[in-house]
Amino acid sequence: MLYEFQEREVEQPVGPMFVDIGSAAAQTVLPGYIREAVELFEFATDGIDWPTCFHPRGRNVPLSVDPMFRSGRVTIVNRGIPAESVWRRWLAEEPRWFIAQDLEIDLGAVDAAIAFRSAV
Amino acid sequence: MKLFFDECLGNGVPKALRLVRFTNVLYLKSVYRWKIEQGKINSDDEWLARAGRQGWLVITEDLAILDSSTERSLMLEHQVGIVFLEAAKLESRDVLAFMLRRMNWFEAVDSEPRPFAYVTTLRGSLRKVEL
Repeated sequence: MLYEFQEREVEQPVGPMFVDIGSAAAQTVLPGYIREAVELFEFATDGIDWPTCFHPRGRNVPLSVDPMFRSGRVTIVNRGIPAESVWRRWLAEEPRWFIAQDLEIDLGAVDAAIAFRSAV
Repeated sequence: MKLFFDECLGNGVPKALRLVRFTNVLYLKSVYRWKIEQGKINSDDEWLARAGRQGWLVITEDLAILDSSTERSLMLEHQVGIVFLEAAKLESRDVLAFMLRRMNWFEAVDSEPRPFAYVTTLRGSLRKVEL
Protein backbone atom coordinates (compact mmCIF):
# COMPACT_ATOMS: atom_id res chain seq x y z
CA MET A 1 0.00 0.00 0.00
CA LEU A 2 2.78 2.42 0.93
CA TYR A 3 4.71 1.52 -2.22
CA GLU A 4 1.62 2.27 -4.28
CA PHE A 5 1.26 5.59 -2.48
CA GLN A 6 4.88 6.42 -3.22
CA GLU A 7 4.46 5.57 -6.90
CA ARG A 8 1.26 7.56 -7.20
CA GLU A 9 1.90 10.63 -5.04
CA VAL A 10 5.61 11.29 -4.71
CA GLU A 11 6.85 12.92 -7.91
CA GLN A 12 10.46 13.51 -6.96
CA PRO A 13 11.37 11.47 -3.91
CA VAL A 14 14.46 12.68 -2.12
CA GLY A 15 15.48 9.09 -1.64
CA PRO A 16 13.99 5.65 -1.76
CA MET A 17 11.06 5.18 0.57
CA PHE A 18 10.42 1.62 -0.51
CA VAL A 19 12.43 -0.44 -2.92
CA ASP A 20 11.02 -2.99 -5.30
CA ILE A 21 13.42 -5.90 -5.01
CA GLY A 22 12.19 -7.26 -8.32
CA SER A 23 10.84 -10.57 -7.18
CA ALA A 24 8.14 -12.26 -9.20
CA ALA A 25 5.54 -11.02 -6.74
CA ALA A 26 6.87 -7.41 -6.93
CA GLN A 27 7.89 -7.54 -3.30
CA THR A 28 8.92 -4.25 -1.69
CA VAL A 29 11.24 -3.75 1.23
CA LEU A 30 12.26 -0.83 3.39
CA PRO A 31 15.67 0.64 2.49
CA GLY A 32 18.51 -0.41 4.76
CA TYR A 33 18.83 2.85 6.62
CA ILE A 34 15.18 2.72 7.63
CA ARG A 35 15.59 -0.83 8.91
CA GLU A 36 18.68 0.28 10.83
CA ALA A 37 16.69 3.10 12.41
CA VAL A 38 13.84 0.76 13.33
CA GLU A 39 16.34 -1.52 15.05
CA LEU A 40 17.11 1.28 17.51
CA PHE A 41 13.63 0.86 18.98
CA GLU A 42 12.27 -1.72 21.36
CA PHE A 43 8.65 -2.62 20.89
CA ALA A 44 6.04 -3.78 23.35
CA THR A 45 5.43 -7.50 23.39
CA ASP A 46 1.80 -7.32 24.44
CA GLY A 47 0.51 -7.64 20.90
CA ILE A 48 0.18 -3.94 20.14
CA ASP A 49 3.81 -3.50 19.02
CA TRP A 50 4.16 0.13 19.94
CA PRO A 51 7.66 1.46 20.53
CA THR A 52 8.55 1.53 24.22
CA CYS A 53 12.22 2.45 24.23
CA PHE A 54 14.76 4.06 21.90
CA HIS A 55 18.51 3.48 21.93
CA PRO A 56 20.00 6.68 20.48
CA ARG A 57 23.50 5.26 20.00
CA GLY A 58 22.55 1.70 19.10
CA ARG A 59 21.39 -1.38 20.99
CA ASN A 60 24.90 -2.16 22.23
CA VAL A 61 25.34 1.24 23.93
CA PRO A 62 23.77 1.41 27.42
CA LEU A 63 21.78 4.59 26.87
CA SER A 64 18.08 4.83 26.23
CA VAL A 65 15.15 7.13 25.79
CA ASP A 66 12.34 5.56 27.77
CA PRO A 67 9.21 7.51 28.68
CA MET A 68 9.09 5.65 32.00
CA PHE A 69 12.25 7.48 33.06
CA ARG A 70 12.74 11.24 33.28
CA SER A 71 9.98 11.96 30.78
CA GLY A 72 11.96 10.38 28.00
CA ARG A 73 15.29 12.16 28.35
CA VAL A 74 18.46 10.20 27.62
CA THR A 75 19.32 8.04 30.63
CA ILE A 76 21.48 5.06 31.49
CA VAL A 77 19.55 2.04 30.25
CA ASN A 78 16.97 0.75 32.75
CA ARG A 79 17.93 3.44 35.27
CA GLY A 80 16.68 6.93 36.00
CA ILE A 81 20.15 8.44 35.71
CA PRO A 82 20.26 11.14 33.03
CA ALA A 83 23.36 11.28 30.82
CA GLU A 84 23.49 14.92 31.90
CA SER A 85 24.06 13.91 35.54
CA VAL A 86 27.05 11.76 34.64
CA TRP A 87 28.38 14.63 32.53
CA ARG A 88 28.14 17.14 35.40
CA ARG A 89 30.14 14.88 37.67
CA TRP A 90 32.74 14.30 34.99
CA LEU A 91 33.02 18.09 34.54
CA ALA A 92 33.71 18.30 38.27
CA GLU A 93 36.68 16.02 37.59
CA GLU A 94 35.41 13.06 39.51
CA PRO A 95 37.24 9.97 38.21
CA ARG A 96 35.21 7.82 35.83
CA TRP A 97 35.69 4.75 38.00
CA PHE A 98 34.33 6.67 41.01
CA ILE A 99 31.27 7.87 39.10
CA ALA A 100 30.61 4.28 38.03
CA GLN A 101 31.00 2.97 41.56
CA ASP A 102 28.91 5.70 43.16
CA LEU A 103 26.05 5.44 40.66
CA GLU A 104 26.35 1.63 40.59
CA ILE A 105 26.66 1.46 36.83
CA ASP A 106 29.27 -0.01 34.49
CA LEU A 107 32.26 2.03 33.41
CA GLY A 108 31.01 1.58 29.85
CA ALA A 109 27.79 3.37 30.78
CA VAL A 110 29.79 6.29 32.21
CA ASP A 111 31.82 6.52 29.01
CA ALA A 112 28.70 6.28 26.85
CA ALA A 113 26.97 9.06 28.78
CA ILE A 114 30.01 11.34 28.56
CA ALA A 115 30.45 10.65 24.86
CA PHE A 116 26.75 11.30 24.19
CA ARG A 117 26.67 14.54 26.14
CA SER A 118 29.93 15.74 24.57
CA ALA A 119 28.41 15.31 21.13
CA VAL A 120 25.25 17.36 21.70
CA MET B 1 12.45 14.11 58.45
CA LYS B 2 13.38 11.40 56.00
CA LEU B 3 15.67 12.41 53.13
CA PHE B 4 15.26 10.51 49.87
CA PHE B 5 18.18 10.88 47.47
CA ASP B 6 17.50 10.52 43.78
CA GLU B 7 19.68 7.90 42.09
CA CYS B 8 21.37 10.52 39.93
CA LEU B 9 23.15 11.77 43.08
CA GLY B 10 24.80 8.44 43.78
CA ASN B 11 25.05 6.32 46.88
CA GLY B 12 28.12 7.90 48.50
CA VAL B 13 26.46 10.97 50.01
CA PRO B 14 23.52 9.16 51.63
CA LYS B 15 25.91 6.50 52.88
CA ALA B 16 28.25 9.11 54.39
CA LEU B 17 25.32 10.87 56.08
CA ARG B 18 24.20 7.61 57.64
CA LEU B 19 27.73 7.01 58.90
CA VAL B 20 27.58 10.25 60.87
CA ARG B 21 24.23 9.26 62.41
CA PHE B 22 21.73 10.89 60.10
CA THR B 23 19.82 7.66 60.10
CA ASN B 24 16.74 8.76 58.17
CA VAL B 25 18.46 8.89 54.81
CA LEU B 26 17.36 6.79 51.83
CA TYR B 27 18.83 6.28 48.39
CA LEU B 28 16.52 5.48 45.50
CA LYS B 29 18.49 2.53 44.23
CA SER B 30 18.72 1.00 47.69
CA VAL B 31 14.96 1.34 48.20
CA TYR B 32 14.22 -0.31 44.85
CA ARG B 33 17.32 -2.51 44.58
CA TRP B 34 15.49 -5.81 44.19
CA LYS B 35 13.42 -4.39 41.38
CA ILE B 36 16.24 -2.65 39.51
CA GLU B 37 18.51 -5.69 39.73
CA GLN B 38 15.80 -7.85 38.25
CA GLY B 39 15.65 -5.46 35.31
CA LYS B 40 12.14 -4.32 36.19
CA ILE B 41 11.09 -0.80 35.44
CA ASN B 42 11.07 1.57 38.37
CA SER B 43 9.27 4.48 36.78
CA ASP B 44 9.34 8.10 37.91
CA ASP B 45 5.65 7.80 38.63
CA GLU B 46 6.28 5.00 41.09
CA TRP B 47 9.00 6.58 43.20
CA LEU B 48 7.48 10.05 43.18
CA ALA B 49 4.18 8.57 44.36
CA ARG B 50 5.91 6.69 47.15
CA ALA B 51 7.97 9.68 48.23
CA GLY B 52 4.79 11.74 48.39
CA ARG B 53 2.83 9.08 50.24
CA GLN B 54 5.56 8.52 52.82
CA GLY B 55 6.32 12.22 53.26
CA TRP B 56 9.95 11.81 52.26
CA LEU B 57 11.90 14.92 51.28
CA VAL B 58 13.33 14.29 47.81
CA ILE B 59 16.84 15.56 47.02
CA THR B 60 17.89 15.62 43.39
CA GLU B 61 20.18 17.46 41.03
CA ASP B 62 17.98 16.79 37.99
CA LEU B 63 16.55 20.23 37.35
CA ALA B 64 15.20 19.11 34.00
CA ILE B 65 12.35 17.59 36.00
CA LEU B 66 11.04 21.13 36.30
CA ASP B 67 10.95 21.47 32.50
CA SER B 68 8.60 18.53 32.20
CA SER B 69 4.90 19.19 32.63
CA THR B 70 4.40 15.46 33.19
CA GLU B 71 6.78 15.35 36.12
CA ARG B 72 5.45 18.59 37.58
CA SER B 73 1.99 17.06 37.44
CA LEU B 74 3.26 13.96 39.21
CA MET B 75 4.75 16.07 41.98
CA LEU B 76 1.48 17.93 42.42
CA GLU B 77 -0.62 14.80 42.26
CA HIS B 78 1.50 12.95 44.81
CA GLN B 79 2.09 15.97 47.09
CA VAL B 80 5.86 15.74 46.85
CA GLY B 81 8.33 17.94 48.69
CA ILE B 82 11.52 18.27 46.66
CA VAL B 83 14.81 20.17 46.75
CA PHE B 84 16.89 20.60 43.60
CA LEU B 85 20.64 21.08 43.90
CA GLU B 86 21.78 23.38 41.13
CA ALA B 87 25.35 23.23 39.85
CA ALA B 88 27.01 23.19 36.45
CA LYS B 89 29.58 20.78 37.89
CA LEU B 90 28.62 18.53 40.74
CA GLU B 91 31.11 16.80 42.95
CA SER B 92 29.91 14.41 45.65
CA ARG B 93 32.16 15.95 48.29
CA ASP B 94 30.58 19.36 47.70
CA VAL B 95 27.10 17.86 47.96
CA LEU B 96 28.02 16.16 51.23
CA ALA B 97 29.51 19.34 52.67
CA PHE B 98 26.40 21.29 51.64
CA MET B 99 24.06 18.76 53.22
CA LEU B 100 25.95 18.82 56.50
CA ARG B 101 26.10 22.60 56.53
CA ARG B 102 22.41 23.07 55.73
CA MET B 103 20.78 20.21 57.63
CA ASN B 104 18.85 22.63 59.84
CA TRP B 105 17.39 24.27 56.77
CA PHE B 106 16.31 20.88 55.41
CA GLU B 107 14.62 20.18 58.76
CA ALA B 108 12.75 23.48 58.52
CA VAL B 109 11.66 23.08 54.93
CA ASP B 110 10.49 19.54 55.58
CA SER B 111 7.84 20.86 57.93
CA GLU B 112 6.21 22.99 55.19
CA PRO B 113 2.93 21.82 53.68
CA ARG B 114 3.42 19.77 50.51
CA PRO B 115 3.74 19.95 47.58
CA PHE B 116 6.69 22.30 47.28
CA ALA B 117 9.89 22.65 45.30
CA TYR B 118 13.04 24.58 46.10
CA VAL B 119 16.11 25.13 43.97
CA THR B 120 19.35 25.81 45.81
CA THR B 121 22.92 26.25 44.71
CA LEU B 122 25.63 24.65 46.78
CA ARG B 123 26.55 28.14 47.97
CA GLY B 124 23.11 28.42 49.49
CA SER B 125 21.38 30.77 47.03
CA LEU B 126 17.77 29.67 47.23
CA ARG B 127 14.47 30.08 45.38
CA LYS B 128 11.05 28.51 45.70
CA VAL B 129 9.48 27.25 42.48
CA GLU B 130 5.79 27.10 41.64
CA LEU B 131 4.77 23.61 40.56
